[in-house]
This record gives sequence, C-alpha cells and structure tokens, in this order.
Amino acid sequence: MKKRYQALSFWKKTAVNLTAVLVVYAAIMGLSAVGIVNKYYMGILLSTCINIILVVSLNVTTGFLGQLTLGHAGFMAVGAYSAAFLSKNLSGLPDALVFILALMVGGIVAMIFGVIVGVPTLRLKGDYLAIITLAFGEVIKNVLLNLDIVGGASGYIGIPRYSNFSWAYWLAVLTVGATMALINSRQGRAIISVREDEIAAEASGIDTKRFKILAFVFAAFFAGVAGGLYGHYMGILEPKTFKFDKSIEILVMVVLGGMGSIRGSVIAAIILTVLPELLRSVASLRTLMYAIALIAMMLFKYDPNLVKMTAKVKNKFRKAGKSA
Amino acid sequence: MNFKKVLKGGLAAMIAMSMVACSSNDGGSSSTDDGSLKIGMIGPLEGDTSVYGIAVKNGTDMAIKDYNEKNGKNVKLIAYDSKGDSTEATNAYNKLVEEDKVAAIVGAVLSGESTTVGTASQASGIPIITPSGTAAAVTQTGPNVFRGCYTDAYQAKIAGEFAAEELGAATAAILYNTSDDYSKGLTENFTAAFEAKGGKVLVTEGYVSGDVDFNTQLTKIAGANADVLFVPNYYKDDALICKQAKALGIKSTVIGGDGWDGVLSVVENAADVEGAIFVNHYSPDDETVKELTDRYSETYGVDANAFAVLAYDTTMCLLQAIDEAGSTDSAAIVEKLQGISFDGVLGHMEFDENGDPIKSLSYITIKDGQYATYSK
Amino acid sequence: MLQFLMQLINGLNSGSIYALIALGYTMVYGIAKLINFAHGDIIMVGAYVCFLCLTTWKLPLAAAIAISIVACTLLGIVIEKVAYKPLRNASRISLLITAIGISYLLQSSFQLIFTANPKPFPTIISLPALTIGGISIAATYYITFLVSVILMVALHLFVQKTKTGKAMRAVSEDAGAAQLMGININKTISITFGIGSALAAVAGILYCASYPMVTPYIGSLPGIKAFIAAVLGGIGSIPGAVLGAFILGLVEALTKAYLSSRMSDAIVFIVLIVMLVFKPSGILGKNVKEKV
Repeated sequence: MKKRYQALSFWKKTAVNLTAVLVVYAAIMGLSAVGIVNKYYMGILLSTCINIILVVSLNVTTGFLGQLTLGHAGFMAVGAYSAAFLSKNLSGLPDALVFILALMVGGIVAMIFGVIVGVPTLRLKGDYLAIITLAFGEVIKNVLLNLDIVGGASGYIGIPRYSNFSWAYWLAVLTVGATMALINSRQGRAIISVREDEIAAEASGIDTKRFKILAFVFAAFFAGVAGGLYGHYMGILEPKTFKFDKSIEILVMVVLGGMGSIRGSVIAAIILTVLPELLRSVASLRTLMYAIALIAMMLFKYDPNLVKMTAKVKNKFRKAGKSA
Repeated sequence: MNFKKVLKGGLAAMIAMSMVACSSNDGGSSSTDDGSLKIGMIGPLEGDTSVYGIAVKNGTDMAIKDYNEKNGKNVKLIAYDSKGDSTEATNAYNKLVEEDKVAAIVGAVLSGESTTVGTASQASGIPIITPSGTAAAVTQTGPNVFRGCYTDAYQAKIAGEFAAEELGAATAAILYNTSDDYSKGLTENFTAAFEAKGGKVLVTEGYVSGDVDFNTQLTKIAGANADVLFVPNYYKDDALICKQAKALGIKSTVIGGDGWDGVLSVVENAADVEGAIFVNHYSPDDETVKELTDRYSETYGVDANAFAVLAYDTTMCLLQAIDEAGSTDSAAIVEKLQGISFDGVLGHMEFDENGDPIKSLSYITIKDGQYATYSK
Repeated sequence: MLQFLMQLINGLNSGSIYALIALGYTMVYGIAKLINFAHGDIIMVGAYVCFLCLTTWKLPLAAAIAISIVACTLLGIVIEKVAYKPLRNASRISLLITAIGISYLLQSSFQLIFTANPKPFPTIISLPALTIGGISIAATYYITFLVSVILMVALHLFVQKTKTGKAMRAVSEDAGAAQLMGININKTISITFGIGSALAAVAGILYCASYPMVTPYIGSLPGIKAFIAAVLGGIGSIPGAVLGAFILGLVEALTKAYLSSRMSDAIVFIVLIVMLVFKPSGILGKNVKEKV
C-alpha cells in the first residue's frame, strides 16, 4: 500500500491526507456526540492538539534547523498573553471572529519576539544558543510576573473560553500542513542545509542568516497560536506556567519523536500528553515513573549496546513468527 | 507516508483513549453503584508545592474518615494530582466529574488552579469548595464556588488595621513574594488598609519563589528602621526571612498572614521567630484543634499545618451541606451551602453572597518558642 | 557607604555558594561536553545525607560531612556509568534530556523518601561574627567564602599539577588524541564526575548552613544560577566559573539593592544575554575558531 501511495501525484496525495484527517475528525466528533468520548477525553484531546502544535513548531528550529532552543515556552507565553489581551478588550464582534483575530495577534506578536531572539543570536551555535534562548524565556516569564496590566503573579483572569476541540484539531492540522509545506519547499531545504553543514551552505551562496530567522519566526508564530489556544481554554493565564520546565517538556517530546520527523513529533505529542493521565492511579509515583520511562527510552534509543540487544530480540521474534 | 501518519496518529489516540478508559474503570462507577458518596479532591501532590496539596488531601481524608465513623456511612475520597498546573487541574476536574461522578469537589489548593477549576465547573454547576485558594477571583467564577479560608483582602485589611491601631505603628516595611498571588494580594491590601489608618509604608521589597537569600532586601529594610515588618508569605520563607532579619539586627515587630501557620515546624531555633504576630484561623490554646493536630500527626506521620486543618473543617462543612440537601443534586447542595450555619473545629462559619466565609480570626504570637494567643 | 559595603558582602556570600556549584558544572562540561542538569540535585542529596547523619543517626559533624561527600561522589560516578556513558556518542540533546530525567528522578525519589515537608537543618556553624569597621560579617559568610576559595585553589592546583589533572585537561582539549596518548577516558571522566559531585555535596552542606531548610527541590534554582555563572565566566574554565559566580552574586545583590528587587532575576538574565551576544565564550573562555 505504501508503494501505491508514494506513486500518487502530489494532488492525489493531498486528497488522501485530507480525507484521512477528516475521517479521524468525524470519528472523534461522532464518538463525542454519542457520549462514548466524554468531556474528560475531549479535554485530553484538546491538550494533545495544543501540544502537537508546540512540538511540531519546535521541531522546525531544533530538528530541521538543528539548533537547540530552550525558550519555546517564552513564545507560547507572549502569544497567549497578547491573544488574551485582544479578546478581553475587543467587543462588538462575533466570538469566532474575535478568536481568530486573537490567535493571529498572538502568533504575530510571538513572531516579533522570534525576530528579537533570532537576530542577536545569529552568530551563536550549539550550547551557547541553547543557553541564550533559555535566558530569553526566563526574561519573558519574569517580565510577565511584574506586568500588572496583565495581572502579574495574580494571573490574567476572565479570558473568554473560546477554545474547543474543533478549533484545536484544525489548527493542529494547519500547523502540520504548513510545516510539511515549509520543509518540502526550497526554503525548507535551505534550512536543512544549515543543519547539515552551515559553512558549506554559506559557501554555496545560501543566506544562512535569513533562513535561521525564517525558522525561528515560523516556530514562534505557531507557538504563539498554541499559546492563544491554551489561554482561551483555561480562562486564566499565570506566568509560572511558562517556566523553563515547560520548554523542556516540549523538547522531550521533540527528541523522543525524532528530530526532524514530523510524524514522530505528532505521535510523541499524543503519547506524552496521554501518559500522565494514564498514570493517575499511581499519583505519587507519577513523576518518578515518568523520569524512569524517559531515561529508559533515551537509553534504548541511543545506547549502542541496548540497540543491538533489542535488534537481536526483534529478530528472534521475527524468525519465530516466520517458522510458526 | 502522510496518510499512514495521520491514520497512525488517529489510531494511537484511539488506543490511548481506550487505555485511559480501562485504567479508570475501577474508579468510574457512579455514585449510586454501592450507595457510597464520592467526594473529589484536586491539588498538587507532587512538586515543590506538594507540601500544601498533601496537607489538604490528608485533612480532607481525615474529615471523611471521622464523618464515616460518626455516621456509619461510606463516603469515598478520590484525590487527583494537579501539580499546581491549570491544565492538569482541568483534566483532574473533568475526570472527577465525567468518570468518577463525584458529588462535590474540595479543591483546588493554589489560587490559580482554583480559579481554573471554578471556571470549568460553570457548565455542570457541581459544588466546589477550596480550603486554601485565597485570590478574590476564585469565588467570582460562579455561585457554586465557595472557599473555606479568608480572602487576601479580608485578612490583610485586618492585619493593616491591627498594625496601626493595636500596635500603634506609624511606619512599616514589607518583604513579599512577587511571584505568588497570595503574597501579592496581601501586600496590596495591607498597604491600602495601613495607609488609610494614617500609617506609612517606607519600603517594599520583593523576592521570587525559590529564593532563600533575603539579605540584600533586608539590609535595605534595616536601614529604613520601620516600626513593623510585614512578611505576608508562606511559612517556609517566613522562617528564613526572620532568621536573616534577626541576624541583621532588625528590631521591627514582625507581622504576617495565615501562611505563617506551621512556621515552628521548620525553624531550627525558635528564637528566630520569637515575638512575631500573625493572623490565623484558630487559637493554639484551643483544645479541639490541638486534639485534631495530634491525631493528624499520628495518622499521617507529619505535623499538621493550616492547610490540613482548613481542609478538615471545609470538608466537614461540605458533608453537612450534603446531609442537609439529602441528595447528590448539585443545585441542592449549593443551595444548602449558601445558607449553611456550620460549627467546626475552627469555630462558626457561614458564607456571604460571594461564597466567601464569614468567620472569626485570631492573632497568634510566638512566645517562648510556642504558639500563643496574642495579648497586649 | 556602609550599606553599599554590606550589599557587596551579601553578593560575595551568594557568589561563594554559586562558585562551589559552578565548579562542578564547568568541569563536567569541559570534559564530557555535557550540561549536567542533575548537578543541582546532587546538592540536595548532599544536604539530605548530612541532615540524616546529624539528626537521625546523631553522628558528629565531621563524620556527617565525610559521609555526605562520599555518598555524593559515589552517586555522581554511578549516574555517569549508568546513564551518561552509554550515550557518550549520541547527540548532545539526548544527553541533555537524560540529565533532565535524572534530575526528575532524584527530586521525585527524595520526595517519596523524605516527603515534601521542609526539614529544619541543624545549626552547624556556631562561630562568632567578625566585626570590621562597623560591619558585622556572620560566621556562615566567612566560612563559606573561605571554603569556596580554598577548594577553588585546591582544584586549580590539582588540575594543573597532578597527572590525573593533566589527563582531565587533555581529555577536555581533545578526547580522541588523549585516548591515543594512552589516557583512560572512562576513568578520567568518572573521576571528573566524582570530584564535581563531591564539591556539590560541600555546596549543599554550606547552603544549608546559611539557609537551614531542606526540601527535595532546593537544588534546582541554585543549579540554574550556578550554570549561568559558569557560562558567564567561560564554561570549561575553572577560574572562569568562580569569577562568573562572584560576578553573578554581586550583580544580583546590587540589582536587588539599587534597582529593583522584583526585576532582579530578569536583569541577571539580560546581563547573561548581553554577555553571550558580545562574547559568547564568556569572560575567561577561549574563542574556538571553527575550522572547515
């Protein structure tokens, strides 16, 4: 089946994808209507979609551009707060329109911050870039704590709760689609070339500065939109939600899904959003189990000895299956 | 490849959902299954704020156990961790209402998550009572949301007036946690009340959660030489602040809010906090409270603090309302809560039209290394 | 003027503690090229072990300190062998994530063992304060400062003069060449982690001597601050770590004193950003030219 799919033209592929996306949506909405999927599950699905947007967008800078950035939560924060500010202060328009405007404003403000962070850090690489993005994230959080106009530590309350699963789902689809489009475009290939060998790319005439900023701005925009979705789901925003731990949470999903793999990002986002809920029955052991699972997953993926061992075990099963 | 990806993603989501369904089936029976009533609890059970969440959980648990024993009933507690995070709190709330079908919820513990839960509860109208969320916004989310503790505004106003009138202070200095809405709320209201009574706040210094070194701020405060030093934070920070303040020779009278309760359990040397005065829900001489906290220490292995005692009383009040309503209907319980007249360990409590409690408060001071009721 | 001097001393005090922690960070980074986010939590472990020795087992102070140092050294070496060594050839990001996993592991397991309730740490320094020209310097201040400086000097001498120290420098410069020269990389890296963790244990004990309260989370904030200090001073450079730490402490203190105590964290991070934009290798760091 895979080969038949690959052989399809671009437009046919897109049609197949869209159908699949619609089918999943219809299925979930249908199950929700008959009550099998209740509010609890819908809430989790909504969170999952928000995380998908965050993870896929972070993958653009971390996976495709190849630059470790630890300040993604900062972009989410500015997007969330600006979106909320707009929707709280805009009146006289229908809710859906206000929401769309708010999300756009959130994305655009985050984009501006993407430029603010991206430009001075163009020369930096590797760990230094990681540290400076961490610092930016913390500065944003601390400034928000002291900004009384958006509540400061008391939180920004009274945000209209426009978000629902449908919005989140389709925005997630949009994010994935846009990212795929970016990666498969000329600009996308330029971005990937920076990751592969920046000096060679520069020498080939690619303006690496421009594409670094492009990647940052793209990632920041969607992080801002995710932030807007989040704010309008919670109804309240607190600066402490956007601390360093949040950036790490998203980064973990990117790494586990596979850097540079959009499909991996989506799956990792789903699994890691649902996993803590699954572990509710062992409440006090949740973080411990999460930590152990994390370390185990990293070891099994990257430790050469364990990788060999798992390959051997897999082979044995395959052989057993064939001979049975 | 993408078709597969999307389908795989959808499939993964479905499988995940069914796994969640399976894992929660044991707690998912409706409240009429075995005739037992279910009460939910939401709060941080892990993370650096878990000391408060676990205290609330234990307090609620103890109240339910006492109630069951006294009335021969079988009320169950279902407690979920929120990690202090709004998203987790919302998920916990949804699970309690949709899956576990609880009749009421004690929660959340921190102000931010309490506001989120309150907002989320407007669709169902299920009675929510937070034993410790102090921000004004919490009860403003709806008529079904109540709180068992004072609002920041109320106790800070009392503290401000107390400082000006009772202590006769003319000047004050403040050191507060700028990243915590409890401290921030208390500071704003104290300043307003103190200055309304003619006092002057000379210097206001801040720190953020996690800080342990306040020497820089306290050096500035020492220079101001105010009559009173207002320390409206939780007991962990208060203990360290006082120690450092004493070392710097600050002689101002230290006053604080109900977050101070439990401070003696975290100081190495009680002399550090000698003479401090704080507003609290109960008097330490109170025999009933003492009996409760002793029993608590025995049962749970840790010392009780204000969160635990508040949770106990709040839960008892909730259970009384459910008794009076005679059913698990949300609207009925909410109505009974609105008009309730409850006498608990912490004295008499009623609710005003916002869902905020009307109850008495005490002034506690640390004398000879022990809590004592303040007297002039 | 007096106030200014007092604030300077406050800054040096926090700087001393950051320095002890930053030393561990910078050594491990220099040699294993790893930002060990779990380092801050080793401080917490050191503090708890010492606490346990002093309160539950009622051991004398010297024994408690020794046991704490040994425990942390062993812990550091074990963590390296189990979690970091297998990933040595994997990407830097996977190491980072694993370190974060270890950090969560330490925090959650200690919460399960000791509960999240803050435990008062017994007073271990009861020396009198020093009074110089009207300023009273508490015993914890000068002890912390002295210990930090002595340990820094000792470490510097160790790295410069001893054979193991030279091996450490060689591995940090070029691990491949060092191996070719016969240096046992595994042993060197283990020793580095061991020393770093031992220093963290001392930092934890001194930290609790000044701020006598232990919770499973006391390590995270000092950990990040020390990390910033190490980067400021030039990550990989031992004198740099100490310099960065004292500068950080001073900037923090002076910002809180004269600018705004609310914004001090933001300002510290902005200083870091400015430093990284103009001199990314830090104050004493080396500028490594990239070769094609």
